[in-house]
Amino acid sequence: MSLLSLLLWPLVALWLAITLLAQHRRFQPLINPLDGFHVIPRWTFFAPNPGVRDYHLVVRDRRRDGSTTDWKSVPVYTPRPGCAWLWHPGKRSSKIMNDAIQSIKFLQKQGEVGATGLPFTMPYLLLLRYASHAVPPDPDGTEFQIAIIESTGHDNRKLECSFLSDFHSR
Amino acid sequence: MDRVDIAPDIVQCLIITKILLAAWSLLSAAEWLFNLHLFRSDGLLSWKILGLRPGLIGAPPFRSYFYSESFIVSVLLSRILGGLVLLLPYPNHAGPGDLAASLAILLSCLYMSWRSRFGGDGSDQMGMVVAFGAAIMSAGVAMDDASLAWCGIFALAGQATLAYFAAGAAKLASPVWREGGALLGVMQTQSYGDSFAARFAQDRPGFCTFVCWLTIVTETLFPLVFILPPGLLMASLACFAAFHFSNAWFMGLNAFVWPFLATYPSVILASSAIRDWAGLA
Repeated sequence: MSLLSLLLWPLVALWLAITLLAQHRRFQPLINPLDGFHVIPRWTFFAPNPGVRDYHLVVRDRRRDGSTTDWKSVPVYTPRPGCAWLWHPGKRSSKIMNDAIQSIKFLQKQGEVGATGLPFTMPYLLLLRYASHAVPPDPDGTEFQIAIIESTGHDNRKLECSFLSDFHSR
Repeated sequence: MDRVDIAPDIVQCLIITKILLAAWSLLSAAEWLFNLHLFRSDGLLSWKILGLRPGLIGAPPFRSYFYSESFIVSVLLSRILGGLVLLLPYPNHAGPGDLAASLAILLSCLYMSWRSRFGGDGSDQMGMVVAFGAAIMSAGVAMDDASLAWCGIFALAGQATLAYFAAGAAKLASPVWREGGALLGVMQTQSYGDSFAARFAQDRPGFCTFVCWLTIVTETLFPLVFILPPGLLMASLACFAAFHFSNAWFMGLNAFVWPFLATYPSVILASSAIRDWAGLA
């Protein structure tokens, strides 16, 4: 057995053992902070809670006179092409938004940052910045606000607002 | 394990693994290149926000280049180059370039995961796993070290087993999956759903429950592949491959197919070794 082999066998065994532990929520707070490169995979696809909702980001402006504009949809989803089974780059942007929204919901649920701390977190800032650039501001708009709308169902879609931000300066 | 000549089946395993890894590398890099706008200042992965993370490596002047769009393009091009090198036909079907190419792909995976932080999925994780396993196998073949090559096989077979088993066990623990609501719920979404499948599933709760339980049982029982006779093993893996193709078709999970299939040659070799060891052959 070569020296490299002698080193790699225990390393691989340890990697597999940590991967097994990382599938359980109890061990994730210990492992996640040390896994910046995501070398420990999470294999619990679509479980225990499968994604049965679509998330939509909307934005509106508040004008100088205090009135607000209508909500405008922030474009994230692209319609899935017929060849998506082979080529589907559009899935990435919706996955990024889903991840950011899940992070916001997790932070809210955890309660560590609180309502005042949430606007300083990365997923919040990411969505805020993207929304502010993706939708042209109202000519009289001085501040803007974002909201997350969740939709379920296919033919009869049900909409629900799950998050409303404060107003932020343009 | 003594240092012995690499068996032809290990070389065959490496060849199939690296071809499938190359397919994933080319596809994933091309899709990222198509999404470069996400990394721009006004994109969903803007460095102006992601750069606020604490503990970033490198001094500030170097950091700005390290996370720039041009560096991302270089990393993705290195992944593409790595994929192309893996497809080179060597006289003995496996060559010294395989190790460098696998490592280049592995490093590109680590970098993209670090740089993007959000938006990674299971195909990225398995791509990284396969690149790591292929690098170890390639090193074993290049150094004529069977033990090292088997370490790569162990890594790939082990992660594939954990992937299916953990996915099945997590679904088993979920009431939504056990009651069959997960299939219809997911199919009704725009992100991962399919309008035809959603309409078909809507009035067939029994079918939904059957598909959910089929997924739970087959994924959870994946470790049994290591004791199945060769014929049943191949049939089982063909079913799992069909599962990934159907996910690509109905859910748009196109990039999962190649890295997951890339682990199958290692699963087959590991199964054969375990059956030999247990006297089941």
